[in-house]
Amino acid sequence: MKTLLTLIAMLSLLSFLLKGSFHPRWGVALAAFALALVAGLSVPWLIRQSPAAFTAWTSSTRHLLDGAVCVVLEVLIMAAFCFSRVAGCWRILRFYPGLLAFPAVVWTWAQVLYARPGVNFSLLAWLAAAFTLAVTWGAPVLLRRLLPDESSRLEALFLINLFLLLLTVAATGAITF
Amino acid sequence: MSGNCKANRRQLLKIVLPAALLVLLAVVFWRACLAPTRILVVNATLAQQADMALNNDNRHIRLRFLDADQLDKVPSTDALMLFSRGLYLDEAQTAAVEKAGRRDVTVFTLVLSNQSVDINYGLTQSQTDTLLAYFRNPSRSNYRNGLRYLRRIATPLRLGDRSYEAPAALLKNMYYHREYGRYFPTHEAVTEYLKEKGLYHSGGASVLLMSGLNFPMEGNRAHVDTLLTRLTDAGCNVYPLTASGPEREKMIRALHPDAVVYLPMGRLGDDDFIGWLNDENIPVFNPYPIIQPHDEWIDPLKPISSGTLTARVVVPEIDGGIGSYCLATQNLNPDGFYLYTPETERINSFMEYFARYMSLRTEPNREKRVAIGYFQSPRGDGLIASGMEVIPSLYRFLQRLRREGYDVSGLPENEAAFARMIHQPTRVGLSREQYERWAGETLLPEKYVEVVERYGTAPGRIMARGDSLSVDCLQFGHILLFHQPKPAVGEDEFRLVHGAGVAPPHNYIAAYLYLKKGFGADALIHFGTHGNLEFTPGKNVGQSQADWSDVLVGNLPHFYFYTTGNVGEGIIAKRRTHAVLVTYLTPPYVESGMRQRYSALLDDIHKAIDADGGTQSLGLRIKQEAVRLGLHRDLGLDSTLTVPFTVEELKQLDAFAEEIADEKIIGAYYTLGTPYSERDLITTTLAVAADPLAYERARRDRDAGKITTEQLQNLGYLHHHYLPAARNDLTALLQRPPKDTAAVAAELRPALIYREGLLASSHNEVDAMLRALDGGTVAPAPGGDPVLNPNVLPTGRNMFSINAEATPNPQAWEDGKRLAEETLRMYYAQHGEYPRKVSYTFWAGEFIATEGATLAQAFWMLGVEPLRDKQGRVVDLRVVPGEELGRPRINVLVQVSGQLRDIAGSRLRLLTDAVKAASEAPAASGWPNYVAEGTEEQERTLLAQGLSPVRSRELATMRVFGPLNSGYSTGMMSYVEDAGQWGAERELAEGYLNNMGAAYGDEDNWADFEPGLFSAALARTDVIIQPRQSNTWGPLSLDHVYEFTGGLSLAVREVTGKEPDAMMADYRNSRSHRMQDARQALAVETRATILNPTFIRERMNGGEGTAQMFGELFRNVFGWSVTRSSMLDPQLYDDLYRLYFEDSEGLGIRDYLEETNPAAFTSMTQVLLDCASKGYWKPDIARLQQLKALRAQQLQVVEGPSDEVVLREERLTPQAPQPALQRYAGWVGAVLALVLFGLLILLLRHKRS
Repeated sequence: MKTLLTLIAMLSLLSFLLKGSFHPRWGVALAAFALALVAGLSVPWLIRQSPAAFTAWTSSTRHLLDGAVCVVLEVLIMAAFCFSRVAGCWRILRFYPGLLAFPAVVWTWAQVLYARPGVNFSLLAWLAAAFTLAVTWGAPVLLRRLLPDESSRLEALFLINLFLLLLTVAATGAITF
Repeated sequence: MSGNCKANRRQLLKIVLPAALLVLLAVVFWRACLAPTRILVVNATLAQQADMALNNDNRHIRLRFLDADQLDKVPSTDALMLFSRGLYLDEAQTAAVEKAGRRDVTVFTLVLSNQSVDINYGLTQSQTDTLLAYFRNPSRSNYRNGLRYLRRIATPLRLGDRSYEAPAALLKNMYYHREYGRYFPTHEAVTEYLKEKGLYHSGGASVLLMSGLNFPMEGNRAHVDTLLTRLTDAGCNVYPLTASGPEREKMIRALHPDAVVYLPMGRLGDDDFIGWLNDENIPVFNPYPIIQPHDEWIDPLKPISSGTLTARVVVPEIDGGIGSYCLATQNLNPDGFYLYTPETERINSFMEYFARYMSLRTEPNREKRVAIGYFQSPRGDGLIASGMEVIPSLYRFLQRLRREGYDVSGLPENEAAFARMIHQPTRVGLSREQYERWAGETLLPEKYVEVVERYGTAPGRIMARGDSLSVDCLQFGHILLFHQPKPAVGEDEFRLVHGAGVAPPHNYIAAYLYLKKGFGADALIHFGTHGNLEFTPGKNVGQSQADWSDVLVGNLPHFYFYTTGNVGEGIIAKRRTHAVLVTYLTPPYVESGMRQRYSALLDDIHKAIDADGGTQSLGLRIKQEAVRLGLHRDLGLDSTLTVPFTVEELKQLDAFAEEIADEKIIGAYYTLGTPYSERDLITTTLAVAADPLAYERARRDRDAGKITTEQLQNLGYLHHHYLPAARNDLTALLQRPPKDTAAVAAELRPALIYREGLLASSHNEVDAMLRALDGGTVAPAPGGDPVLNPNVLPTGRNMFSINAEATPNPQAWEDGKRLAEETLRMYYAQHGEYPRKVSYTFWAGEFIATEGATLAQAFWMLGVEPLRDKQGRVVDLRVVPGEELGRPRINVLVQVSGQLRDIAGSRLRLLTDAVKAASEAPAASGWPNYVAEGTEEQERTLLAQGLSPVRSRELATMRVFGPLNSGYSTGMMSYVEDAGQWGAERELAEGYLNNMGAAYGDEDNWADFEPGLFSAALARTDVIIQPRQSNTWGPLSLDHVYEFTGGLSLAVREVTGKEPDAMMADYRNSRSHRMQDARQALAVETRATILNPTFIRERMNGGEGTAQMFGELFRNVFGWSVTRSSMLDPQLYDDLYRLYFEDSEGLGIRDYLEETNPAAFTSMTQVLLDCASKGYWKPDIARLQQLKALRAQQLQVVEGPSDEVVLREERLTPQAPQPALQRYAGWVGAVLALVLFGLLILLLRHKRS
């Protein structure tokens, strides 16, 4: 289950970064700052959580089912964005950055934290914020340069979300009631 | 348009700029002239803070108080005042203060004596002197005007009330009374004053009251005034004094009071003055206030602060102070300052104690009622007291009481009759109503609820007869002898003796209530080391009514005969039961006879070594003899009789044999009031004096260049070359001691002093107890093994401890460093690498005797060193750079006894600080930091166990562990010794990890238990170290050694999968501390004692108590077998069987045991049967059958001495079948399953066919 959750988190982040490549610069910056803020602030909270309790919480049936609903909604929104971009309608979806990235980034930093005893907590919080900011600000720009063709990026975004959906279905299938 | 705009802007600027300037000027003016002066006061006590704040009436002065540890950055202020008493500033803090001084902040240090901090800025010498004149004479007016004066200096331009009065010179040394402002230069003036006020009691006891130097004038003295009033109301003429130095002593001598009540802050006087008080029989009572608030004080798990412990308890004990009650707490008043609040119940308790003690001075002996408690072994194999034969001692003491005029009517005319009576005491009935009424009058309701919840309503099921309780006692006239009951129900011996952590049962409470309320005791004596009252739940010091030991003693004057050899536990007894200790001698040291036994072998070895191996025939002869004696097994040498030992092996054998030959052993137990025999006097004096003399002579030879320093430090070399001559010279002297000692060589004279001390002890002990029963003084003395510290002689004195804050002392530090390096060298030589972690056991006795040598070892392993202030206290640590250390930083773990935790809590916190500092130390080139690695690993383990990262981090540096719930018990002894209780050793290890898993590292986690933490901290332990500082016990003769070190070894094996190396830090020879392989230490003791016919013969001179010790030795053998069987020679069990059961040496030992203490012999039989059933011993069938037959025979004879002793049937039945069945149940199941599966296959085949 942990591997599955890690994959879902990674894909959610990738989806967020790809989506960012369609945003204006200020939009990318805004989303990156928000995510960095969450990453930075999540560390002081995470250090007070027991890894066992955290894992139990994330693996509980109820939370997984709730999470699955959120992922499905997100995937639907992303798919809608892909179609709207092609059709040139529902421009408002352009400004939706993808909310799944927020829990995904917290989950990712939790894994780093639990795997690295001895690290300075305060330093880790700053590093988490800085690294998240750098990646989420820089990666969309990089992706835009690497894949200048918008339709290719849209296709990639769609496929990633499709895969995300499949993984979520697999994850819910793995839940034992 | 733009022109208008510009004009408008100009207009606006014309208004705004002047306005801004005006505001700026106003701010500057306000700051310079009107603002209140901010005075920052650092390191003032809470009481001083309250005094300063409440006496400051100038609204232009703003006071702010800061602790020294908050001084890394000095907040914005106009003046900074440092109270230097107890102040230690590190480099950063000193720099911060100096920076503030350079920034025009006036800095003033109130230096009281030789203190380390003295920083002044912005003050002329004259101003400093004036400020000192204010604050060194603390009074309400001086505080008020001192602050005003400081304001004038710090902020000279500030307006407002700038008036102040000159410092009022107070008398340095004066009497005072409740009326503020009335001071008296002499005690005669006080007498006049008392008469004038109608407070003088003609014929009343004169009591000198000292409450510290500052209280009388500062205010904040409600508790002092309360005490003063209560003493006056009790009919005393009270002379409150404030004075210091020689003048204080002079004034007290002039008054010559009947008693001194000293609320202590440091010592009352020097040794001469204390000697005078003792000579004049003036008791010193030491009640004290504490600086904790009431709620914190009554919390049973909150110890009092280490500063209070030292100043108010430890130091007064050195003066022989008694009546150490907490009088007052410090609580927040509505204005936000801490003021002393008298604790009325405590003051009442102290006053009752004081009145009862003083009344002993006037009451005739004939009228005095004395209760004497004695102790019985939990197994019922005799009355026990460490090293003392109880029955003859008690009988002689009672005879002496009779001679002194006490009413001891009915005492039998001979000891045998007395012994019969004491084994069959009278049962005094106590009705339930009576008991409940007394309990209601004495106990807090919630404490009684604890009892009822645990044991049901009275009378409970122990010692109950119908609806009443029984108390086992014997009454002879006005003397009551009572058997101290078990403090809890259960069979864990150590827990029963050292505190079970639960409320005592009804019958226990009933015994103490009866002696006070039923018998009406005037005084209480506990007879010998040691009982269990002091280990009942509650605080170590600063007790309240919620602490069992305090409430059960019931404010009676309490005296305790206590062996001088056990100072660690003695101090606990003293503090927890308000006891006056009266020390008694250890048993005499006797010749072990081992030197004669080994003399031929030793001669051969020395010849061979001198000849670089010697001839082949000599070598083979040595080997043959060594193998015959089994010495090769203890040293791990080969037994091939055709190949001689190498020179290195011979040296090893030499050192080992020399050690056995010189092992100090103790003979039959001591009888109180009976001097050592002439022979014992010589052998004991030799034990005390010979080693120092030999060392001194060797040292002189070293200084003269005759021997090397290495030879001087080699114990074997000294024993071989210097000790025999020293012993001969001393023996000749002691056999015919001259009357005129002037003619005796100076180097031999100490031996005569020791001899006199030993001789004087036997009568001094009883005399001291009688003097105490007369309300007199008992002179203070250090405690410990007389061999290690002859200053404990003569006994019959009140033991004291040491100042933990000054540990490790410089000598201990040097020793500790050397021993830590020796440990590493020994380990490296054997394994070719450094150990990653060394786990230490800390005990109170060792800590007191060495003043922290094992603590120093732990520090040096970590690579930190202590930093001291000018008063010698260790206040900080320095991390020794890796390059300077020249080796890895070694990780440590420390397990502590409850006694050590109680007397040296601050050192445990310091040790945790050391671990933290070492964990953060930068890596040195080429040398790993195992402390940092261990901390990280511990954090990872805890994280993996499910703790949060923050909690894991917090606990990652916890390395100090001890008994749960601030108790004393490891809980191991019943597990280990009751072989029927457990199946696999793993169960014992788990029990140990649980029972000793409370962390004692820092304030926040004090006594916390986190499952898995102790085992995480034990990971990677390579070496365990046990200290030993007394010649009166060894790894075999003291059960606590296998209990702690064996238990730790078992736990490490469980955690790491391998048995750690075990060593002993041997402090028994004060001039030659060393590390010793634990297995060899045990082998030495085994050969010199339990397998030594001379030792057995000596012990056979003793009675029931001495015989009981044989049972204990056997149980300890079993303890080691269970916890660390590699410590024992597998041959030992057969040797024991032959010697004790077949009486192979013809000593008559079996007859002796069967006659003197059959219960002890029964216990020995059971131990060997347990060894066999657990597989540690593989006896032949015949021996086993004989043992079983003997055990069955014993079962029919032995009876339990009281209702409390329950001999469990399952212990007595053969152990083998049941565990075997359990062990093989899995296999049997598997085979059955296979058979069934086979049958199924056959069935299917059969069907198909």
